[in-house]
Amino acid sequence: MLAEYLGVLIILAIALALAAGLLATGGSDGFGQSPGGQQPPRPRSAPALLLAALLFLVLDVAVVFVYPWAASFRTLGMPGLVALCAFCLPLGVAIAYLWRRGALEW
Amino acid sequence: MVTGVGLQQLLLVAIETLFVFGVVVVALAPLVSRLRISRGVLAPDRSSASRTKVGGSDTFAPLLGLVPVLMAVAVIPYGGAYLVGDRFVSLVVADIDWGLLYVFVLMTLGAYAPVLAGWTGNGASSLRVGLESAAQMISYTAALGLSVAGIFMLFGSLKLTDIASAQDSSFRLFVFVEILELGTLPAWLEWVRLPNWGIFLQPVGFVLAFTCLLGANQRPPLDSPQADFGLNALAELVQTVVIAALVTTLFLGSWTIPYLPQNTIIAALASQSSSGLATALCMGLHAASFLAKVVAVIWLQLWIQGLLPRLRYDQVMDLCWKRILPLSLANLFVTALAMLWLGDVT
Repeated sequence: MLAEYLGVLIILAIALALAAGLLATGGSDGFGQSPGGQQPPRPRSAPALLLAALLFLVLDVAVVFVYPWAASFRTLGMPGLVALCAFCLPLGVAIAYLWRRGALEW
Repeated sequence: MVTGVGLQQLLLVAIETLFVFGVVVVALAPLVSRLRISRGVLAPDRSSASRTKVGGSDTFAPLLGLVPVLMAVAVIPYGGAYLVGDRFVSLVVADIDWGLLYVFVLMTLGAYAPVLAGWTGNGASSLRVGLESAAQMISYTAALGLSVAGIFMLFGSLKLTDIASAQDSSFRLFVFVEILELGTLPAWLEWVRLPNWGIFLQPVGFVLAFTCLLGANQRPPLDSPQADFGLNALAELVQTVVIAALVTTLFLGSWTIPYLPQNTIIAALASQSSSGLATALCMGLHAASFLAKVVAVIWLQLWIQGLLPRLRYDQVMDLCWKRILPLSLANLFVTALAMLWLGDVT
């Protein structure tokens, strides 16, 4: 099983070699670097982007809980589906609340 | 060195990796670029009137997006498992148990690239565009996880080779009529069978997952005005190919040939020639089938790219949070109910 990761390592090595080669030969398209010392500007909607990250975090944790349930769904049967409903109901209420309050307006 | 891994296996994996790179990615990338510059409906609608410069291509950022996408190729199977001599040979570089999650992990890593590109770019709004791109990518990756959960439930495994081999059969389309006892089926409908592909078992999941893959990799029409050449273009080409490979593996039966399971093909060929040659021919047929499907999905992406106008950022995020997310939850429940009521029809 561990031997499978050898393939991953080889592909990583090839991808890194390709990237290094591209970087070395210079893939410049004329845009150039920003002038030294210039301060990057503040994003106009920083709170909205923070919100996106927080929403993603909550949603991803929910997805993390769904996957083990999905893996053992065949043995869980109908009680398992009811358990998932009990899990998704507060999640759905939360998403509906966010929707109504306009938090999902970008 | 990992225990039990000899030089021979290292060489085998290296050759396989280079073959995958050589054929699947590098050979298809020029094809993609040739299709892009053709006229007509395939021509992408990318007016250069308003381009926000989000980072030069001589920075590290595009490569940060390129490397994870290239690594995702490792788990995609381009052929089945064949009995060669006395052992099984799987036409895949790395047959990881959690292959599907491996691809998602790499996609999430790719979200760093636009952030760095925006940080280093010229222009007052490049950082904002970069952060918005990252927010879009992680939103769509999370939605993708839910959209593909149906496939995971049906095939019961995260291993892409298992998902691919599970699609190597067919099912009767109207079997639900007799399971739910809705009446008697006319005899001529009983032989209607569909391949066991993800797109037939999860049609809604296919549309959702395809849209999420386009959004997570910022493919048109869910992209933002960015540098369209240089290393970004190379990363986009590779993303197109990898998206196509992933969609093919999950929904279009990967390397399988519809209505012709692997054993049938090998048996039919073995009756004409030796079994070794039959296996080799079958390998070739399966790899060709996989390539044909990947090219078809690449064509589909380019067609969508030329057909649909670019969506505004708030429309893109609305699509993810207000449309795809509820639909993918509904798809999950419907799939669960269907599996409970119809039993295991696969």
